[in-house]
Amino acid sequence: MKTRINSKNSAFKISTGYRIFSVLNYIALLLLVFATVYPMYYILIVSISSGTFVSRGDVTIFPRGITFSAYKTVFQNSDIWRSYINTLLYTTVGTFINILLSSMCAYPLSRKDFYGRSVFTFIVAFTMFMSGGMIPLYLTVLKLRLIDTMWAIVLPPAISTYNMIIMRTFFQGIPISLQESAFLDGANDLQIIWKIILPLSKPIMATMVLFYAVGHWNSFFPALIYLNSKSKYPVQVLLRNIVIAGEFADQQTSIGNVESNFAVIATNYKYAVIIISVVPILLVYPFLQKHFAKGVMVGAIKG
Amino acid sequence: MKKSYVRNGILFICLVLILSMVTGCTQPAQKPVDGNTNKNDVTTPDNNDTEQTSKISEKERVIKVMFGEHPNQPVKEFAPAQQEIFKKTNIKLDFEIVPSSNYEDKKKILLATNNLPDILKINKNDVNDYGKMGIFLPLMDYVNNDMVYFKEKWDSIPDLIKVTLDGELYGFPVIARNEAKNGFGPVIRVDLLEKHNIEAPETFDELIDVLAQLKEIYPDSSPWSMRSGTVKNIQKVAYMLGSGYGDNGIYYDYDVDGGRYVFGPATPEFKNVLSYLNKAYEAGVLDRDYAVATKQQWEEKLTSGKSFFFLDNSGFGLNYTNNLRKTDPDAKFQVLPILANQDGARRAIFYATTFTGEMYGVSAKVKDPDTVIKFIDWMYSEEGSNISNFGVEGETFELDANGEPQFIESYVKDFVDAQPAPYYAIYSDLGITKLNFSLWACNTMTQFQIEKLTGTWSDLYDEYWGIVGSDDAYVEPVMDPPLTSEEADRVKDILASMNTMLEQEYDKFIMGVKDISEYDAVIESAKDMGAAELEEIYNDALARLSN
Repeated sequence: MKTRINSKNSAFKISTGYRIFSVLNYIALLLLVFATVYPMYYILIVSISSGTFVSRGDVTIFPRGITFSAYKTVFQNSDIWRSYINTLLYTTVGTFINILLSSMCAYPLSRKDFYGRSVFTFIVAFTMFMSGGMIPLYLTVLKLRLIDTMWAIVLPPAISTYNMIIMRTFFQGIPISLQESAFLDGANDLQIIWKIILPLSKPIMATMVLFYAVGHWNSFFPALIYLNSKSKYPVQVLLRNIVIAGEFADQQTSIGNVESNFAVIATNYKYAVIIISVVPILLVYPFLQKHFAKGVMVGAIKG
Repeated sequence: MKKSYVRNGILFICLVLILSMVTGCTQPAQKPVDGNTNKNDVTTPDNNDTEQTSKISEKERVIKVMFGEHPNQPVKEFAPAQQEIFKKTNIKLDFEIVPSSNYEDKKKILLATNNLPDILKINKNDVNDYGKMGIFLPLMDYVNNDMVYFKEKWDSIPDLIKVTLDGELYGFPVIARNEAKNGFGPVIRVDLLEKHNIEAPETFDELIDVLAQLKEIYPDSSPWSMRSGTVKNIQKVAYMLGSGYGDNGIYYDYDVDGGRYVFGPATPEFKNVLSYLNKAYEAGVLDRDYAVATKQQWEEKLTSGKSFFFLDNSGFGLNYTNNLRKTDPDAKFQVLPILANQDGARRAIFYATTFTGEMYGVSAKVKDPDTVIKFIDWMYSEEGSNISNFGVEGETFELDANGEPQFIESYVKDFVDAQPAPYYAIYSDLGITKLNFSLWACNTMTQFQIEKLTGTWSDLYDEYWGIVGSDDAYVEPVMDPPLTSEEADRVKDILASMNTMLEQEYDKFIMGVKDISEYDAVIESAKDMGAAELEEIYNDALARLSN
């Protein structure tokens, strides 16, 4: 009887077993959160700790000997600022091209009345599984005279087939009758996509912007091979050099001790650079998150 | 249903046809694109003219140079040294800077697509892999006929012949200028030895005793720590302990048959290396985590006073001392003279200090190669080297009474507080030394000068260089002879399987899982896998050179 009265208030009966499970569940999830957040947190506290404590391994939970000298060193490096601007430029322009071309490719393929739809879908999907390889791709970019220009970074990855197919699947979910009624009202194809389809596709657009922008932000290999001028490098290329090069250099035997002076402050400097390059793209997530989860799910279920 | 298959098939074929027509038509219309061509390229019309003018290139000429950028020393475009080079030679260096962490990736793509800048940094492997393909300019004729300054270096350093491939030279080696000699060495906390009245060890056996005594006094410590894995450490200690390892097992031993290549792990002497490390491990002297410790963990132990000894790049001791002194003003790491091994011999190898292992290749497609070669030759001259290592005469350096360049103090003073170190900041500011484009390149010479001027130099450094410099145990390293491509392939094959087998064994013996007497079986299987053939390939290649 007693339990019945309780169940009136909470709609479900909450058993002891469930409570124990909840507690354990929370503990397990908190541990998971800790495992995910701690590395980020660690990088943050090392970046603001004094190099002496870092190299002694004393920095574990709280920053010690708080100093912003690492950030000062980073900000004094004009190369980093310039590459930062480059990254912003490549990300903006690249994402714009991606969204434009992907949606223009996805929309026709989503239309059942599009002539030869299956053939075109096959041709496009084929590129997902077979690629020309790096050398032919490089030669193509070279012959198109894109080497050492921004276009070598933003044009070759203009459409990601995978993302385009997610988009197409989303477009397919929009009832065809909407298009038909728009057509009857005198809209042409461009008007239909611009005024009917795209306004209905905000979730998928937000998702795609995020996918593509993060991709551009993190991309480093195309910049490495297609760009020759240092002034055009994005920040990831410099970041990788700063973070990785120290690891190789210390094994060099020909002229060894030259490395050593820097070793004392290296770690917090490296981590400061990581923080600076990661923060902007992290800040984008919360704003796009609500669209993000919805967009991915919609595409997936209807697929 | 059937109809739609046919329709789709026809559509597909049509598309393929159209596409192939489009590409077919555009092909001839496209001019062959040469990655090297530069609008600014102005070739000298006539060689005789250039000889009459005082500058190497009569007209302004742009030469593209590609090399890796070390994060400690950011490369600036057209820095003072490059401006000075332009003033003297009329040659404008246009740097293509690649992050050193991924220089290999970029270089491989450019080599594979034959799309090289005029000059690029390469190494011996590239010469072996690509030399025969005709993408590098063959240089031997130029060396013998056109070059003055480089020829002088070439003749005075006979070992340089080892960078050739079948008698042809494909890259100009970067030659070190006045490099202080240095090598792996034993470094110990001498302040602790004094504090506890312990004699500094002179042999490897004494070393274990000394460290064991320290372990007794500091029970929580791990007196001898290592970094970067077992093999890297065997490379460092094996030669001192009477065997050797080189980079991958094969090394040159001066003391075997008057000097020859030996595959270290397949010799009975190698048992001494493993049994010595085992002894250190059993005595609790060697760090329990020696096999897996990273560089960062290693540094933590040394700079927090948990470890007292390392056998590695001995110059690190200077930094760790500075770091330790922030909490313990008396702390002092100092290098020891090389310890005697169980046979009473003291053996150690210097780092390569003449040829740094880096070369600059010239693209076979370069325009007007004569001027380029003449320019490179000039880079090996006193004048070229001074500019590319000290900057601008009168502004950043002056020649002393002996004609040696010396940095000017007032210039250097501006960089006292620079990060990561004053000398790196100066190198970066001027565009100089071996991390920039310099062919007769300084490293320690410029560093010492700058550190003495900025006051970062201390007595500890003098003591350190004194000990290393006066230690007669160190011998010059032997540069490996060039192998033919068949030989190189064979070596790769043998080593791949052999080292997989061997690298699993070392730790078992060091940690005492297996008794050292069982190592004979490992030697046997190494011999079965081709240890003798490896030695033969290297020794034959070496003999070929002297003929």
